[in-house]
Amino acid sequence: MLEIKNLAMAFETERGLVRAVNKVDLSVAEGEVMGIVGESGCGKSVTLLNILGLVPHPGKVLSGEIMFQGEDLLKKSKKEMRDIRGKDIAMIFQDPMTTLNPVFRIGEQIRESMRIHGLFKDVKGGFFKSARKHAEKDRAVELMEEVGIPSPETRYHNFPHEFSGGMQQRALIAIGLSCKPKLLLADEPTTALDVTIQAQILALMQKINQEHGAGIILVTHDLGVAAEFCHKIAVMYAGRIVEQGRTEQVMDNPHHPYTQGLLRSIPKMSSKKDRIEPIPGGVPDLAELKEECAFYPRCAKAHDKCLSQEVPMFDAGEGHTVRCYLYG
Amino acid sequence: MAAVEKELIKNVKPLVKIDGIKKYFTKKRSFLEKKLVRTDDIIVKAVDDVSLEVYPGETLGLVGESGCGKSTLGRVVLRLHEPTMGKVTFGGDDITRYSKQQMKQFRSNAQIIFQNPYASLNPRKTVRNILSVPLKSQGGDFIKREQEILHLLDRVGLNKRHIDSYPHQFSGGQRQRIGIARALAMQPKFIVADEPVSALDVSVQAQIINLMQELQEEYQLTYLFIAHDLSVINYVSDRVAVMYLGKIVELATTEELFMHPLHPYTKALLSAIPYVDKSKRRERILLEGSVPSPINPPSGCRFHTRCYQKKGKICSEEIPQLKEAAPGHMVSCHLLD
Ligand SMILES: Nc1ncnc2c1ncn2[C@@H]1O[C@H](COP(=O)(O)OP(=O)(O)OP(=O)(O)O)[C@@H](O)[C@H]1O
Ligand SMILES: Nc1ncnc2c1ncn2[C@@H]1O[C@H](COP(=O)(O)OP(=O)(O)OP(=O)(O)O)[C@@H](O)[C@H]1O
Ligand code: SF4
Ligand SMILES: [Mg+2]
Ligand SMILES: [Mg+2]
Repeated sequence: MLEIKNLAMAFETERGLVRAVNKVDLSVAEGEVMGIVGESGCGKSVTLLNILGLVPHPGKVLSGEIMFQGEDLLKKSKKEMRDIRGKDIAMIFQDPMTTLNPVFRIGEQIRESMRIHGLFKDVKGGFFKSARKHAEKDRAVELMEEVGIPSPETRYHNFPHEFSGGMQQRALIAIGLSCKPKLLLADEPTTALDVTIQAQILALMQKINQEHGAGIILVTHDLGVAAEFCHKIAVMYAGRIVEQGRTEQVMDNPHHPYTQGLLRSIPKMSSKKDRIEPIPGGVPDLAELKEECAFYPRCAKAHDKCLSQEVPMFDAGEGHTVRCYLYG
Repeated sequence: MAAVEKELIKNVKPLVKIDGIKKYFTKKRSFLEKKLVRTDDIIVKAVDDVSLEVYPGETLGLVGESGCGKSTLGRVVLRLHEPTMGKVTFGGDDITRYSKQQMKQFRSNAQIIFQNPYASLNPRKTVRNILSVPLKSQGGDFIKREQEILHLLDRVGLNKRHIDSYPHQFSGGQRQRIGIARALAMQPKFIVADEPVSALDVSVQAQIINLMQELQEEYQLTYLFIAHDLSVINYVSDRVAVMYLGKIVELATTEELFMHPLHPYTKALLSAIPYVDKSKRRERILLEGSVPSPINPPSGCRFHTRCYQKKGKICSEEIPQLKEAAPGHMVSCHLLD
């Protein structure tokens, strides 16, 4: 359904070219949940924004294509993209208040999203198009019910600040679902929430995936969330995807030294208290990236070859791919 | 990890004793609001009758969801907030009665490390300035201070050449190292670490956790470690206290708490952790609704509005007391009466 090929984009800054997305290949089939994991600043959010044609200034797409239902989104006009956003592809942001407008009632915001995309434009009749308004309102209340907002009839009239963080996130999901999107992009939808609320939201997204068959791309830095929720996982480091495969392949049998390092960094929750092993050093400056493997300075298994040229994606079998010479 | 033997606890005196602490914040209503709504000022019961003991050399983990009062409790313990009721003793002395002079001494014995390394460091000061302040208060000449700064930098894993850099020139993990160096400079015995790794990426988080553990062994530090990440709490703590809406609902050794949680809230909390390792996943207990407000907390057991094991009327009427359910395992729930 969605296929990103060789996507590269960069920000032109005073410090030079910041290569935030570097030759990324990614695909999502219908009904599939794809997870993108990686540390802060590695380019996860920017990758999602590219799909929506919302690259922030001063970003520029350098190469690649984003095929969605057979058409290249990068070739679409601004107007065409506006129609696709929210209707075929919806996005849920980490901070609900970046999407929710504080001065409008929650219910009206859900209705507005349906109105923009003309969901009930065929419904005619009544003074001031009241029949259509009613249809939209009924659907909005129904959606609020579906995402688990209690007493939706009353809550419809609440303002965003009257909702808790978890409820705001549900409202966002309701807006996201209002036009029955085929693809849902979720950027850290639970990072700001408590674990018990996170469990509720993930259960809700799972239901949406199963019942509506919507494809989902979930961006998270929580490996546990990715492992439990996603069918496939892409691990990103410094703008590149360094490992990709089915969840079991990547999590149970990690190949890339970075993925292995990440998994060894999380405390294990065993009574034996296996020592955690941090990855030494920190993430590189994206403005100073060269063609070589960006993980080289932190990698215990590095050798000269890693510095000599750009590392290609190697096939580790059954669709499991790794960007590391150890598997070349 | 500093090994605090269970038997030892019985004989050793606590370093810090938190005794019936309450901290209420009052939000004043405007004159007009009072006239119109006819209500009194709003009272936020951030911490409501908490008693805990922290033993020398141990790490007591404090875990709970956002807004349950963890930071407030941590601040009251250091007297950065005055308690509304109750007292805190440090080495046997009541710190709420300390004179100015005694407070000064206490301030060097007890330090805090903050969650946000970005906000807690003065952006206009170099690392040298930041670290000299606590060192100056301990006397010593310039050369000795300079040596001490270099020693501290080395100890927290920062390079000597960083001494004249400003906070913005560091990454998040490096800034947290500066925060730790600043706390260490006072040669404290006790450190309240308020979400010290929550803002960091996992690979860097692991570096800081390991550093804090090494320092604990080296200087026999005692930690009150606040976090909402249960895997971090599990890893660093000797004992764990679970907080819900201003109260401690369960307290036990780490192993006991994670293996045999007794309070319905703790069980739900533990079941909600997403695991990479499939064998660790438990059946999820999904709690309804969200955490109620500490402004008008539920009557009786504060968890009764979300409890899936509610026993009956008693839960909404009587406040369950924290009782010993098994040796060293304290729980406040009517199910255990
Ligand atoms: N408007 C911008 N101008 C310049 N650089 C930018 C801009 N937006 C993002 N970047 C850079 O692009 C890189 C990728 O950013 P992105 O927001 O995608 O990271 P991320 O993986 O989502 O991180 P996080 O986990 O912190 O959200 C970062 O290094 C960032 O500094
Ligand atoms: N200075 C203050 N004035 C009024 N209310 C306050 C103040 N500080 C904290 N509160 C309230 O007290 C309650 C407990 O806050 P606290 O910061 O201790 O929670 P926490 O457990 O540390 O949460 P988090 O995990 O979000 O840091 C919250 O409802 C908060 O809004
Ligand atoms: S006291 Fe009652 S409501 Fe509270 S946790 Fe126990 S069973 Fe649940
Ligand atoms: Mg992001
Ligand atoms: Mg806090």
